Amino acid sequence: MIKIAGAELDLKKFLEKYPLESVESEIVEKLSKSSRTYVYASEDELLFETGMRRNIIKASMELYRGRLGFRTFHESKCNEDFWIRREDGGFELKKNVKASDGIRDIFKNMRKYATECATAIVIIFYAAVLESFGENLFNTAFTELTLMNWMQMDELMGIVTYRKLMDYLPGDCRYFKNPDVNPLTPEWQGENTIDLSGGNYYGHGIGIGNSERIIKVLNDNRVEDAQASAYLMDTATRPNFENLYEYKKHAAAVTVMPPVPIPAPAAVAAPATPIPVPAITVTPATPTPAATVTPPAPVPVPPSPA
Amino acid sequence: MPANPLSLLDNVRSCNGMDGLRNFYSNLLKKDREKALELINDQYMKFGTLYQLRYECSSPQVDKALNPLYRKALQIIPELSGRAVRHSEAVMRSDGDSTCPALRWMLKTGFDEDELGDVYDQIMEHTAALLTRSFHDADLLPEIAEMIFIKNRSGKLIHELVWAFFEARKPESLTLITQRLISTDSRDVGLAKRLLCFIPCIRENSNVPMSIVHAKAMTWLQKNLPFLYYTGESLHLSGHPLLYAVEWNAKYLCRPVSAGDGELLSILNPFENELIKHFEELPENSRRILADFSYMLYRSNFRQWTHWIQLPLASQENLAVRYMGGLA
Repeated sequence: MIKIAGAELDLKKFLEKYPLESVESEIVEKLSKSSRTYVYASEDELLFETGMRRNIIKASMELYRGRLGFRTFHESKCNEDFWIRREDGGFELKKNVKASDGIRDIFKNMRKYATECATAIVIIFYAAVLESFGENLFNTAFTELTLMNWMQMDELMGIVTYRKLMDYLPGDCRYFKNPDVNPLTPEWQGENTIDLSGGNYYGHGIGIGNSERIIKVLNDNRVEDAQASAYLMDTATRPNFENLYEYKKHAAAVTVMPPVPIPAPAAVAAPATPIPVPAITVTPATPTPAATVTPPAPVPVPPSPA
Repeated sequence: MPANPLSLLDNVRSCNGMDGLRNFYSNLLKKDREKALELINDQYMKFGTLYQLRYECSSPQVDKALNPLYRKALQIIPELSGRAVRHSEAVMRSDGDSTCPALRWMLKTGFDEDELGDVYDQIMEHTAALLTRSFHDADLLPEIAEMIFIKNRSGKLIHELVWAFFEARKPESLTLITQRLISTDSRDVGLAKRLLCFIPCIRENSNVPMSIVHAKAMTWLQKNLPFLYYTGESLHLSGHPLLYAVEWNAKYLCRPVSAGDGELLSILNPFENELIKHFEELPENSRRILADFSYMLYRSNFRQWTHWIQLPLASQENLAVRYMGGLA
């Protein structure tokens, strides 16, 4: 069930917003039919989450179509005009580069990049936020980016791995584990995938397919006398949609805030003679911190599924 | 135990660097082949030095004269450095009598090298994974743990080493990580907290001094060790993987589990099966308290435990709550 501001969602009316069989419909229907109650503060918040999940899927499809290369962390590569390749195989945004430009370059110059599956998912999540936030807000929110794995993601993303959930949704990152992997090819120990809806997954380095296909590819990379098959784990890794929504909402509120009314000054006659200006003494400048735009602090929200 | 003496070639490497070592050895091979062969076969030589001299050692005259352990190590370097052919793991396993000692020597003498480059690091990762997974050899887990923390301090990749360490499926090896909670290096403490976040006192974000957290974590491990199993999670799946979990059914019955999959190591009798049926219907928190109480009583007073475990579940709960301080 979905509750919006305490009241049950009018599913039929809400679904009118989306084309039939769209990803958003699948998400909302799944949440509505669940025995668990999903609580949203407003319809806008639900729209944000479904929209961002769609953007996650869109970014996955773009990485797939653009054929982003697969390489282990040891051999990863990036466009060094935008990123610095770190010793651990992750990419760090260069100081003079805007976060949005860094992310967009991956999609524009894909052949200059090659990564492992976890980094691909990190790229997908950031690309989805860029799409949902727009360039200006994205660049305010993220000034330093590291693309590697979950640990290096910005706190605002609020990445959490949930276990044993009642409902898994399109846009979730799901993990396929390969317990009998060949230890000489540990890159096949598992696959981070994006649930594309309709039972399909995108796994970087494997491609798009249903769970059987992903499992088959992993099984092909096991030790010779393997006993255990690869399997889909009971986990889902998600950004904190609620947190991101609150951030966007507060940023929007700041942007559209009406100007503070200032009473019109009383008519003052211009002085006949110029007001004497005191001489300015130049003293060695004390270093002052560069002016920074402080984004509204993200509202701390306890992590909750969906 | 006194440390092994440093071989002459290790000494040359440590004083003159890698190029110095290679120059020295190439010249020696030309001038005094006998001496060169004697030095390369030094029983105390480290793998890092042999790795640096792998091209000099590839000539048939040196290869033929190498001791079998060092020759094997050189033979398997290509497979270990990421150029694995499909069957190489199986071949190595079938040749375990010579491969396993070579892998052990490589790891034991080469784990603390941090300047030999990416390919060397990859060789160490694969060596660790082969030992723990293919050869089920957990003797060198202390060296693997040390290597993880060395690499972490220098900002290098640790994912595959962490994976190899936990794939050993040895809950007792967790103390090797726990001791880093009281390290003076904050990077060690941070990583240890990440890897042990399945332990409740570590998950809790508090300002408790690390010495207390360490003591609590050790106590928790002691109370749960026979019932811990490896979940298969890794740093690839999550930034805070829950690498081990407690099998509560087993703890309630005080029966140890397989650390690999959490399966009970013994078959339950009908009475125990019935107990578990009812136990599983309880809310998670109640199950946790009952299981904790059960094992505590089992260890402290086995006679009382045999009496308690036969009580109806509600009475068991009453006693457990009275003793353990209530169901939150």
